[in-house]
Amino acid sequence: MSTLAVEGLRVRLPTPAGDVTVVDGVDYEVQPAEVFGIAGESGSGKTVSMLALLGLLPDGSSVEGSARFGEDDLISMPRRRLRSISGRDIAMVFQDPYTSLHPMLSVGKQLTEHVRLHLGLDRGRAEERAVELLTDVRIPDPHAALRRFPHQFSGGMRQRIAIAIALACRPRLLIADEPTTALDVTVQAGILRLLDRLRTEHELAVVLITHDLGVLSSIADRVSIFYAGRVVESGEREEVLRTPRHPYTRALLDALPHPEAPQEQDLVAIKGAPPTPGRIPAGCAFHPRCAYLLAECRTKVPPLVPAGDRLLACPPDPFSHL
Amino acid sequence: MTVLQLEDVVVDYHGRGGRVRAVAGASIAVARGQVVGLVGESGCGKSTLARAAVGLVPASSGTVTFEGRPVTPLGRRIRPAELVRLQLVFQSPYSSLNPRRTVGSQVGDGMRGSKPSGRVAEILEVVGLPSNAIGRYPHEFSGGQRQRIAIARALAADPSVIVLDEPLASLDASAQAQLANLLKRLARELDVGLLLISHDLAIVRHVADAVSVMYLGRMVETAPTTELWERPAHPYSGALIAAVPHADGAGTLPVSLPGEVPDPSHPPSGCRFHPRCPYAFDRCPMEEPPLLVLAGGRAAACWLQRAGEAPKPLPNLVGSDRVQ
Amino acid sequence: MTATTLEARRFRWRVRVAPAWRQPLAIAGAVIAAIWVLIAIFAPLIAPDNSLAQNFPITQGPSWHHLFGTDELGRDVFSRVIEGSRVTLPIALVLVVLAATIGSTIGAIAGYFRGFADGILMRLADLVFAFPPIILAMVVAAVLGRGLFNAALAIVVVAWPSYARVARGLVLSVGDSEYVQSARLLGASSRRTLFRDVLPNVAGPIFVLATLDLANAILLLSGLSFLGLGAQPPKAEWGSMVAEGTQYFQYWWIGTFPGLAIFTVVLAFNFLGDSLRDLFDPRTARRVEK
Repeated sequence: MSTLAVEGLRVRLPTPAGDVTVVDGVDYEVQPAEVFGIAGESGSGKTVSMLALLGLLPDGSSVEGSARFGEDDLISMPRRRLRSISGRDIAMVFQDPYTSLHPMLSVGKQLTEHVRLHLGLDRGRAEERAVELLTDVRIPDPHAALRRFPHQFSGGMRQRIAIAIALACRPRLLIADEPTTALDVTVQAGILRLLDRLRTEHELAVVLITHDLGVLSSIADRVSIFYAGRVVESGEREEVLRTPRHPYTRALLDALPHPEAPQEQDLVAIKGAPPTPGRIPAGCAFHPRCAYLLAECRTKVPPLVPAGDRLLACPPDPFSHL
Repeated sequence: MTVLQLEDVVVDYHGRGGRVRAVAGASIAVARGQVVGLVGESGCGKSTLARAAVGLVPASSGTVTFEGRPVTPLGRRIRPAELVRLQLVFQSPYSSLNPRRTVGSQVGDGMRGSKPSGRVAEILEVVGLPSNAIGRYPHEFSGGQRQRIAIARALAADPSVIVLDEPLASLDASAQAQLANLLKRLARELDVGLLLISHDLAIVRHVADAVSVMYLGRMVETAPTTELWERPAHPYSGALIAAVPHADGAGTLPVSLPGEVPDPSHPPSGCRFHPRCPYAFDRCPMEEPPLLVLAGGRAAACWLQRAGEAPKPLPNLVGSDRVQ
Repeated sequence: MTATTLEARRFRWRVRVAPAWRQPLAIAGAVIAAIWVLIAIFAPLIAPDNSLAQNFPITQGPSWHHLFGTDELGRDVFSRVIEGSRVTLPIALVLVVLAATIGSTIGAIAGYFRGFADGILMRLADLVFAFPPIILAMVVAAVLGRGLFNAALAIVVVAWPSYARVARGLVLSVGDSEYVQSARLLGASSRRTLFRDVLPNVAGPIFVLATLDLANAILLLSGLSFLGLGAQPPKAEWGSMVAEGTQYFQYWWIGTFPGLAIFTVVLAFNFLGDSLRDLFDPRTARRVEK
């Protein structure tokens, strides 16, 4: 049974210019102990789709579709129940380790508050649990760390603390939104290894949102590529990243410097820019930038359909021979 | 022919807690038409070094020389005309352009005397921007385009060296690719020397001819790009390279480096990297290794290497027990 | 979160504004202020009677002949209130412009030269800030002597430090900005960047401050006149009219209508100033989108 099953997710956000569709029909499933990667550039709707699941959208937003989590549907759930679930059964880790922790509370306080609120533990037990968590995320000298404040830790350490808080109530699902983007590459490697270990040890399902395909490639089991609020390709990490079949996925990979490519060769840039929400081209959203388009791409939105070993939203399927 | 030369540069900041040594003796050189990459992680001092290279920040000791002349720090007075050929492009394309002035007006800043719009249009074309950009404002352009405007502004001064401080950091993959290609072209076709500071090793590998690696205020290795990648001589370089994730679908976790970057005001004794180094031995905490010059135009500050000899490859790290 | 943020908009003249019907306060403010300005301009045509003429029956309540009644000397209150706009509005305008100019210049000098000059000038500003504005204005006005002109001068003395502080802050921050650094690297002189880069960025916020300050100036001016330090009888100034009204409480119209005039004008300029500030500084704006 999948931990999370999202179907037909559609999100509209209010703006001064009127309502704008930011997520336009997204489906995916996440299994226990699996790292599910969501890749996309800015404006692809990847973050907003997560916020929709947790009820963190601004007032005036509208959400359609369903998100089955256990026996509940996160979208249609009453707010109170959603609030008790999020933080306890579903946890989230954000990009910026500098603003996601409360600057005025000690680390211990933030951990124990969280645990006492959701699990009702007394202070002693809560503190034990806090030390346990800090040890789990490999913070050196956890007892002393309890009494310190976030600003006394480096970015990487803060991110570990944020992960510790997220895991405090033994959630079934962890959503990590660009958790390593703001970190140095060696620190990022440490966090990725940590996440990998934790998901195995705790049978945790992880949704990892990032624009960095290298990060996805190293840790994700299955990936979904988002473009302009829709999923364009989805499947096993090895299949999608080694042999991409959607022109956008292909272009994204081509734009990256390849370790084996000769230096003289130029990097391949994708012409044009990702569309802003509210100004999505008709038909296939990628068609103005696509080198393989057919007439139908301009008018028909390609559905995400099974195509061999993956799901693909591209009728021309120009790389199917790969 | 070396045009920009920094020798044993030290830069101190005087903050609230006393003196912080952001750069503790670093040397780097850039020749015309050469792209030199400077890589390092947060706190290594590379941005400070970039600023010292153009005179935005004074060097507390050491020398900064451009075309044979010392680079005097920028003070109240106008920057000497000879130094105008040494330019800097900042990291953020959003804060480095004046939002209230037109693109053409800002690009024209670098030109002496009259600023014919024809010449401005030419420069915009070199960086791949349309000439109608002249009358428009920065906010009408994307991040990648703005960065190109900033580069155009630097080019208008007919520079022989441009220092670029993390120019690709705030751009998406496609804009990064375009800009990286542009930089390579500038170096080759216009014979401009580039000092490219970045934390993104993959891009630097693609663009730079030579790379210098910085750690905690000092240069730890210098080598031609391909050689650094294939055979790093300093353990930190090795760690950086091993930590870069590859988008090949293989599912290999990058290697992490244990420990944290120490406080620059209290660097470790001896070799600054020794507490985190998997190969550290008894000499390392005792004596700080200088940047030893090795054969083949390489240099590394590591006691594993011997001056004058060919670089020894780093011993293989088996298993991930040493790493977190 | 970039999907919902329609591009970072900072110092820009053309800013996306929420449509007018979503800003009732701004519209109300603009309309009322405009009405008062028109009243001030066309006062002689609107006022039914001479504001100084004392030939009407005294202390008559509001009626068709005298919309706001007559005062204790038989003058038509309505005409006097209208005439009062001709006194208050232009003086407040002039003194705000004066305070803004003097204050910004001082602040810009402090920010540009820094060091010793900065220290002296800002301590001077702090000195003024240390006093409650009305008290200081009273003291200065008392020292200078009674009269509207001296009252205005006193208010300028009290008002300039706010501009100085804002201007100094802007000169410092813009002066440190990367585009100014770039200009200097390209060979521009400090003075050139001051005029090309720094000052255009200073003008906007100063203008907004001035608009808000107009309301304060009017209040202070009326306050000083109320206390007898500003306009002298028989000048029709709202503050002194309110003062008269306190002596004739039973004839409520004598003081109330001038008071309402002050109230509406100050409120109008406050609303106007607020929405102008929201236009220029998105951080304080009440956002419609995230």
